[in-house]
Amino acid sequence: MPPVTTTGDAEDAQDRALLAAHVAGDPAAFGELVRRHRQRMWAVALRTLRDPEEAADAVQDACLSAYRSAGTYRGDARVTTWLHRIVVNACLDRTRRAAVRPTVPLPEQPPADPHDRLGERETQLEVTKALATLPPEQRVALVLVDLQGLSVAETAQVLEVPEGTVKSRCARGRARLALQLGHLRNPDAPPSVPPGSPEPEGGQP
Amino acid sequence: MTDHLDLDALADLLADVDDASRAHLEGCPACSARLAELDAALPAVSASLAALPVPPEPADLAARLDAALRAEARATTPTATVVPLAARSRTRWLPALAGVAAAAVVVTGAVLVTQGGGGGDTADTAGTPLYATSATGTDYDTTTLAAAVPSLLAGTARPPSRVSGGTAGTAGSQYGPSPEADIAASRAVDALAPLRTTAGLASCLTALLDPASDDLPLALDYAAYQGTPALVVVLPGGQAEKVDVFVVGAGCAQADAQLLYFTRLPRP
Repeated sequence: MPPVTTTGDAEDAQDRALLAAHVAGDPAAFGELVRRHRQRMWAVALRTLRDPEEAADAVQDACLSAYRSAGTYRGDARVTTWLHRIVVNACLDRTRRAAVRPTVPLPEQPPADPHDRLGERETQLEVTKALATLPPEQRVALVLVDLQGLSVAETAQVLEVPEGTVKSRCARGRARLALQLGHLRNPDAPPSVPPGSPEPEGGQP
Repeated sequence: MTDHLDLDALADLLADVDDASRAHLEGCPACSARLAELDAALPAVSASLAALPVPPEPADLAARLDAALRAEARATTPTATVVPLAARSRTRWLPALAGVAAAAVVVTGAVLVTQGGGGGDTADTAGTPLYATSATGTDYDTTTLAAAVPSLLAGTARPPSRVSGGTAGTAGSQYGPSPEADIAASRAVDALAPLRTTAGLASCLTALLDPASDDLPLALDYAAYQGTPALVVVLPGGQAEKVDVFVVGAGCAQADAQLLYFTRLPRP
């Protein structure tokens, strides 16, 4: 089971009080907020960016961004939702600014010997490597839902997209991982044969 | 028959966000079979992801975040509350900076910044060394930076020298930098020009130093960090036997700390 990383109402109330104190000028409040949430921010950044130095930089960027924009938090979402959003944006900024991990298009052929892989437990390294090949939007969606245990609804709030978009990104990401990890016997669509055409088109669209 | 469904289309069907593709399924046993197989495979993928352990934090992450927030707080504090204390501690090192900034680019070695450089608080003996300033242009990473701290503090840091294979020339001589190191060092220092002025350096150090203390910088190095021109600032750490090493970009001259890296090390 993924760790329960969403906060309950009591924790959220404390987070809101800390944020309000920070905005009011309390010099120690924001540091306390960071201490409470640093580990989950780190987990999101590392699983999204994979490189520990990049992830640490992203967490630092996110903390500074949250520190500066704390006055804009309107209280309509949980504080952790707001923080998750800032961390995700800091990570996506990094993937856009530098080609950190080029995404791999759907492979033309399935991995060799898929029958040998089925039923095997793949290693954690294989899973994290496969995760890194996903397009950033799909990777982030799976980090939030499958790794951090956020609901689809909360993930939609973090990413500021409709719930249907979250479901699509998660499903597409999991499908690509199933392909990468060798879980599928028939990953390729059969070649399309439009009526009246003498030759099959062949291959994936 | 419409085109067969690719993996993305099958995934969207399973996520209940695509109804248009269902029409194709009704006439296509191949795609229906692929859909069923994908449906069976996805829960195992979610389980594999959920089974990934929580990655351990780097040991210095907490300290690094604290330092970055501390620098940010000082950079944005209204100056009315900061100036009296900052002015008091600044006069101790500010006059000495004038000598450093006016000097030509120091490429070959370190300058010991001394009291009595001209004006300001002259209560101390003229020539008392306060801290060492170098301009080595070294492109540090986290490991080489930690290793360089003793020589930075002692004022013995030198730019990296290139040893040209096989020649008996003076390139890479221990008595002076090679031409390549000269160029690299001067290029790094030029990018940091805003931090070479008295005002720019003072602005940066004010952002990093705790105004409530009388801390002085221990050492500076105009260099680079992972390819970016950067100023290394070594300050006393929170406890007496530690030093704080800040690596800042040229933006530090405008009181935007632009913290590239921070670490706390035992004092050599």
